[in-house]
Amino acid sequence: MKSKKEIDKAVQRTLDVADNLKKVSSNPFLYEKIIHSMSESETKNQGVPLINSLAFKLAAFAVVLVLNITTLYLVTSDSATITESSDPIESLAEEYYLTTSDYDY
Amino acid sequence: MGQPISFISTEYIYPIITITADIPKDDDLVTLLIKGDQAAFKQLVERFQNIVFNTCLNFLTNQEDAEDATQEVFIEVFNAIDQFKGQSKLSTWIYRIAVTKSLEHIRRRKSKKRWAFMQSLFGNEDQIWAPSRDANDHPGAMMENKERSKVLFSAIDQLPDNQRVAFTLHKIDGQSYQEVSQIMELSVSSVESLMFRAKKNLQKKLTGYYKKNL
Repeated sequence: MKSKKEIDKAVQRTLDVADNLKKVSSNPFLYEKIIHSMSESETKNQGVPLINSLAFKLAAFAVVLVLNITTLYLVTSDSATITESSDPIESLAEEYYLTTSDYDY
Repeated sequence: MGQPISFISTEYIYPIITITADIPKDDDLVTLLIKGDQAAFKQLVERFQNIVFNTCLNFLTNQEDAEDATQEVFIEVFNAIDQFKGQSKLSTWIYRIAVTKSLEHIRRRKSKKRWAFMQSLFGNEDQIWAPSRDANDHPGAMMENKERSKVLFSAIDQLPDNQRVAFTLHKIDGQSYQEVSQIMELSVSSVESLMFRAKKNLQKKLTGYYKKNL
């Protein structure tokens, strides 16, 4: 175990490193590299397929949304008609032939 | 009254005037850039590339990452120059972009690390390949300070973003509190408070480290 003084000294020496960092020269061909990556990204953007475009994504989303709403509307309106027209117990009894009495044994 | 004595010969004044006339001011450079002038863009890159590269390097501590970030900064400058309103200096605006891009790189690096860790948990280590970049080995650190520099940058890596930015810009990049406040769009007193907290946090982290490792 080191003394507090030694630890404090090590901490201070480490913090002092921040004041003594040398400046590093950048790549002399940086401008050419920038121009190259700019033209590369431009070519990529030109070749973006339709499926990746924002307009296509929005249109697909709208179609799915419309389909969902239509289905939901149709399903809810059907079930509403059934419940209004008949009693559920009666319809269950009819389904299991419990209301008929003309059995032919 | 005799002729006033001039110590500066006109021979020497002429070339000085020519040089200053060739270097456009920041405002003129911005006007030319908005028009899409490629020569102006080249001048901008040449003027700021060392500043931007060293700022990115001080955040990322890795030469390759810093170069990538520097490229991104200049592409962003070119694409967003029409959004520069001239409310701050051009250099301040470029610094702001450099800081944002560097922080984006740091976040990407961290999420890559997290993803690699997750993959290793599920035993997919063979599928991952990550270049072994020593993230905290700043190339500007002197030989005798290499180890200490790694320890320092590992500790800085754990600071919250705003403390990290203030500490890096002021202490490592050598910006004044006034400049840091303009870059971070904060008051000088807020920057001072961030610096105080950053130093406190670093001291705490480093003390903990040296208690175990000295």
